[in-house]
Amino acid sequence: MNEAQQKFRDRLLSLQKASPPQKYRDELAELQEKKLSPAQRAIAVLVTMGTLTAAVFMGWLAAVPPHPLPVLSRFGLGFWSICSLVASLLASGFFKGGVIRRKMDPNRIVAFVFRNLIVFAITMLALMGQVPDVGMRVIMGSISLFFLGLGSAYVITARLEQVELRTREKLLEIELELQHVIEELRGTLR
Amino acid sequence: MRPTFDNEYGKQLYWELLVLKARRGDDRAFEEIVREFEEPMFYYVRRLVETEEDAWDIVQQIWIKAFRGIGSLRETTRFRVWLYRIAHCTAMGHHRAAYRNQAVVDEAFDADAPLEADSAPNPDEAERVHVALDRLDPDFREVLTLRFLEDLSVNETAEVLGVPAGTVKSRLFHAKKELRKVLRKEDRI
Repeated sequence: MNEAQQKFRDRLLSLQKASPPQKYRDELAELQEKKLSPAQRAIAVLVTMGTLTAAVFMGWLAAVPPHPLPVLSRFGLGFWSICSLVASLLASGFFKGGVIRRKMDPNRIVAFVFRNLIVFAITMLALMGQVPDVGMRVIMGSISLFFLGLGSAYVITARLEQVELRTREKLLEIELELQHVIEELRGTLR
Repeated sequence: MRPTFDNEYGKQLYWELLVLKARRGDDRAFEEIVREFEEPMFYYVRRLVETEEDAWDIVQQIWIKAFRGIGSLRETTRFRVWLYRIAHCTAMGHHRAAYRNQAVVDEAFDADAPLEADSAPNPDEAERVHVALDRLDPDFREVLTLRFLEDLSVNETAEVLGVPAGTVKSRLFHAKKELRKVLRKEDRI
């Protein structure tokens, strides 16, 4: 845009001055984090306690002998026990902070997904030892390795992307500094 | 953090860095983007809807969508086009029925043929143009507003509006003709 276009644009914008309503300002203030109302915090507490109870109960059913249930059922109970524990931790996070972030930090999402995949894989490996059938052990071991590989590939891809973005950011900062220096020199020479 | 460059390249670099930071999760960078684009965004959306209240509602939705989606923006240099595309789709969704009824039939223009060069707009004419814009058909109003606010190229405008480049050329051609007609009518009054 040349100078005339920029001036024209600025004049156009100045002709449409309008004060944003308070509702808009309030929503914008909560763009990144939204405070929970008392009712929402109460729900978060209930969800935390409910999921924690479910986690403990299912984990007890899966792990404590005697084991009348088949191995796969116990595995399922163990897996869902872990999922409930994770959900409980998340819900307690909302309750403690009293806010919900509209967007999660990408690094936290990566860490969350990776941890869950690792836990799943380790649970599979742990249960594998209790299965008498060799064929079933091989299947469980393969599934476990598959999820380990999936988790690793996901983390590596996400980390590479973050490194690329950080590198580009640094290069841009350097280029911006050079532009500043060039403009200062031009100003000095004039 | 505001840019203090005289040249376009420096400003471009600054905005690219800001968008990159916002993409990486820097909330302050996103706030800076909102501060800078709030006025032109409101101006653009206000040209598309009936009331100021609707316009602010839409602008609010635009920021929420932009905040959620900026992490997936691959090319940071195309941020303006991406943002205006969100604005266009949000405004269309909000006012779908009214806008459809007023759609203009577009002639097929050759997408590769060069567009006639714009003469530099006279800043003193801004007030007349601002009033005249509201007298135009919505499609014409929209392409001209994008041209005046951001000087988007034909291809960039086509991407924002989700139509072929030839259609954008046709609309720009007719929009300018209509605008001149409206301005001449104002002169006679």
